Amino acid sequence: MYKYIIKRLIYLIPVLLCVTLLIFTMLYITPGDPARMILGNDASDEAVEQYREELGLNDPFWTRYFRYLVGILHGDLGTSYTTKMPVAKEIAERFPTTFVMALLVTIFGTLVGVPLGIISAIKQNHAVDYLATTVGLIFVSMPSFWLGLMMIVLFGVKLKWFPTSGWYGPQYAVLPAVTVGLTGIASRMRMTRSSMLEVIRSDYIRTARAKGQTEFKIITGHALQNALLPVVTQIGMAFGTNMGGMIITEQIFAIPGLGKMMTDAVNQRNHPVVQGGVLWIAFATSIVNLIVDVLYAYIDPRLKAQYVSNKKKKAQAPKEAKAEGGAAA
Amino acid sequence: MSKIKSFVAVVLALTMVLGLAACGGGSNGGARKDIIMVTRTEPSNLDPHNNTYLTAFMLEPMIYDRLVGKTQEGEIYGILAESWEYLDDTTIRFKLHEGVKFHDGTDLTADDVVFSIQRGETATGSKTFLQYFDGKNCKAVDKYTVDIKTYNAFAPALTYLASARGCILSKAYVEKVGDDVLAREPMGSGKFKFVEWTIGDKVVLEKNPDYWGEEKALVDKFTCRFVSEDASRAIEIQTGACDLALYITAENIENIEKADGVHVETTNSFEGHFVGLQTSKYPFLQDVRVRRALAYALDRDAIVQAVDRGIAETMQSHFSSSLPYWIPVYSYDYNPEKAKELLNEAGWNWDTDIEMFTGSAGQTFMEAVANYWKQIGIKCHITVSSDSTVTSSEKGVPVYYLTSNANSGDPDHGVFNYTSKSNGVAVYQAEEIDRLLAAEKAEIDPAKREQLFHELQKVLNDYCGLIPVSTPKCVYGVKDDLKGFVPDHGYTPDLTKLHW
Amino acid sequence: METNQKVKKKSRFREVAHRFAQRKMAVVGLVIFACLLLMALFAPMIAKYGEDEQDLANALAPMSAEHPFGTDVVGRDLFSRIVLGSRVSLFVGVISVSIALTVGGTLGAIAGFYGGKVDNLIMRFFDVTHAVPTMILAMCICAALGQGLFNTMLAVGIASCPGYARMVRASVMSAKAQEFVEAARANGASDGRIILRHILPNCLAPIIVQVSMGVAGAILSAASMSFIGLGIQPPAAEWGALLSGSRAFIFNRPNLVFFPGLFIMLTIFSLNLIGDGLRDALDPKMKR
Repeated sequence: MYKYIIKRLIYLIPVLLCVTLLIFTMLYITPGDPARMILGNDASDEAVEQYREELGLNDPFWTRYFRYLVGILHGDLGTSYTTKMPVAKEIAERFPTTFVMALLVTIFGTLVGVPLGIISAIKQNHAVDYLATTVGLIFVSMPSFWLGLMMIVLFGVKLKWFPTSGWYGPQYAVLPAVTVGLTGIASRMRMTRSSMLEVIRSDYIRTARAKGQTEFKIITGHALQNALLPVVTQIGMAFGTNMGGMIITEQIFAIPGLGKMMTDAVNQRNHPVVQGGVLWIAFATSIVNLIVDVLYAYIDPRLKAQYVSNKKKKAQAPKEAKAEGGAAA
Repeated sequence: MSKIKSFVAVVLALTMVLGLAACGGGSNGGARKDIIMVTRTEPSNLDPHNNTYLTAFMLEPMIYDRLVGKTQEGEIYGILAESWEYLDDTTIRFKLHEGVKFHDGTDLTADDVVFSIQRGETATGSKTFLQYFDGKNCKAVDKYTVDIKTYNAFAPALTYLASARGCILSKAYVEKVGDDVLAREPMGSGKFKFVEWTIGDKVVLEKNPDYWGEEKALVDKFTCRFVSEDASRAIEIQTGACDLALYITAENIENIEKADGVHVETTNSFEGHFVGLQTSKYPFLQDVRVRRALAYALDRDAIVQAVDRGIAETMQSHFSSSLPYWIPVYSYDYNPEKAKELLNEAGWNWDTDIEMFTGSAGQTFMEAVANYWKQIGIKCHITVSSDSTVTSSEKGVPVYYLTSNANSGDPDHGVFNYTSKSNGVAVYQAEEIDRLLAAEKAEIDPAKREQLFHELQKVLNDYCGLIPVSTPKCVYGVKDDLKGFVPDHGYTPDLTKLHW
Repeated sequence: METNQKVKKKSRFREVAHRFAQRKMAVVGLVIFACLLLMALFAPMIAKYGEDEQDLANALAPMSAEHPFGTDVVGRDLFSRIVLGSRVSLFVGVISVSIALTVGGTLGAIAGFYGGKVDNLIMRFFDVTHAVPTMILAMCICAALGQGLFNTMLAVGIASCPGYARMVRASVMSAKAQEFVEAARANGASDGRIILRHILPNCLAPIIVQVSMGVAGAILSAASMSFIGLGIQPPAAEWGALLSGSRAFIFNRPNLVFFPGLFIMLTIFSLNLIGDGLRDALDPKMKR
């Protein structure tokens, strides 16, 4: 199991390297002169040119790229063009907010969506199912910015239940979390439902029923375990999507997170911040995906057997052989 | 199954803990020894010499002290300066208060003043104001006497020293920590001390209990929050989540007035919103008849009404009517027929497609302008930049959206666009304008200066290098209980006198 | 042999259509989408006002008979702009998906068919893009390419490639193992011919489903880009831009924000229903 983890971690390095190259290239071809943006309108052309030299913007592509890579190895993600602060510091200040939100939302989405999906699958074709599926689909189809704005009007202003901007306590997280989360709930629900349906129709469930197991035991004991496996994978991807979804939500709710930082940076041609932000998000998303995949491998007995180390296998094999009388696991 | 359950439980617990920890303390102005203000833009730094953000112009005078200040009516009063006198046309001698201490305990002396002027003369953010001061020749006569020199006789000298760029920094501190740290951790001698700056969120200041002056700060804590969404800012004041909100837009005024405990205060501003015409690079704009035609084609009143929806006035000169020496000179009333006539007279090529540029803030404005031009048959198209702060120099386009804020209250500040010539303003055949600009800066006698400005405004109107359109009002959302608030024309109210 | 295939195809289509029609919600989705499509096609006739017809005196007017959805800040009729904007949004959705399918699908087919190193290389590349959330990837591409209709379509298309590549690759890989491929190869068919004529038609089912959902996703991505100021900008009447441009007026005139969003939602909702229906109808295992 550890080998798998280590392998994945090592594999992460070339992936992230390529991410830096990809983003660097994209920003390189982005129109707009950062020097002019920082110095502003009044600055003369010579001053701008001089500043370009200072920022190293006139150097060839590969020189700038390698300079950037070397910096990363030292933990230096560059300096923001607008605030002159180290990018790493800015990210460190704003990332936790976004990360916590994305995590909360993903967990929230799972805890609400999965049970709903299960119920929906069990009661397939009943009113409950149709209702849940349709409502779920409606929420999946809603643009998050629209939902966010509507929530502000309804809950923030008309009802005054929750604050609508800032980030000073748990109550500030409610509206943004619901905005991003409702889509997640719906997704999780649909995924769970279809996965459950597939499992419920399978042969071994029919066998269990034939054997006389109670419906409840079948669902919780057999069906659920297998049905949830694909859902677990989806959770990892959902986290990445939620991180991306925070971009708009943070803008609307004035949350000082990474998303807003990135949007502002893209608009201001603040390349170091965009590069650093994307790199960090890629890193965080990859780590979360890794955790989820490891979890998946751990839960799924078929995969677990593959990844359990040989030593353990050898130690277990004789024991198992004795216990099961030679039957394969 | 149980494995999944236990995993979920652990993650949930962890997340709750993390979530609550990351959210931080939840104070929103309950105890009334503090004030929360909400504004639109976060400054890039709090270095008085290195930015041009209005937000910074409000916060810096709280943290730092200036030599002098200026009242709403335009009178200069001393802050750090106990007294001053003009030794000659280019030298002002200031006598400083003794015993002024910076927040770190060190004395504020004439050396610090000289240092600040020298630094500000060449720094990017303050150059436009302080370039007229001769930093090299400013002298610390003794510990508490300093001579400030200007290159030429300079009428707005005291006004500019009263601006945020005139904040006095601690030479020792700046030399010790360097520019980059100073930008993020300002330290001055003012009524408030800098506490913290959460990027993207807020700046927090606290009362300076050892303030040298008689009038100390009247609250213990001041928080300035940055909320860029217009609607969100309005909600904050409407629901009472903040005590003061700036940049309230027209449609929210009614809601705030209706809400309990808050009201709206409006005053005219020093701003001007223009249609910029880049004469230097584009031959078709160099004919004054073309420029005038473009002006005749606009129904400015309708544009002002649509863009600002009742909280702006149509400009009748080239700077705000609240600035001294203003006279109404604008002569191009809406006349599309005359516009077409002039264009034909000038031999206008009706196939020309005029490129227009604006940041997102000027979008509605430029769309309205383009519409009027299209109505008389001019072809044009707009590029909207996603960043609201970017200007047109990057693009070098013929027509662009230009705003200026004569925040200091001096009419010279109101014609900055013509002085700096950035964006190609009044570069082509504008000798008369240049002559008058130089003259008004040097003219110390107020009566004579007024005459010069009258002449200048008429010349600017004839030249028509910019089409002035609107001067929006400053709209503040204020809690009824908040005292000491004076709405400021420059959108930089004096925040040090606020109290409950 | 040929006629047999044709007959098979025809009856298969009938069967799929029949199964699709049985799902009520899918039909509802089809009806809604058909309405939207008609609206887009006949837009100039339905919309009373032009896309950029300003009437400054009548700015921010409330909903009325004359202006069913009200007017925006420069007096443009919102209903007309939404109707005309449907063309933009649908166009963006379709073209983006076409780009994603063509580019991503081709790469996926090549990867699936040839396997080995080629497969490795291509999929590793998509792993890199997978590490970056789609929204952020689209944002960076949008910023790099600049604003405008074509650039937005390109950006959204490129950002969506990985999903199509994966799907086509999986389908191709499973189809490759089938017997008819061996038969075609024995007949001397070239690789390209095999892919195009034999394998891809069998991958059609998942592609169709993915595309219908994909158009929805593309419309949403484009609207999101416009909302944060990248994508398509006014005066083009793209729905996301309409929403973004009026969000400052959300308290006075919530209709200006509500209706563009509603139409985005309806479009995506109907496309999702159609996609769901198609998936159920095309899936041989489903028994109802």
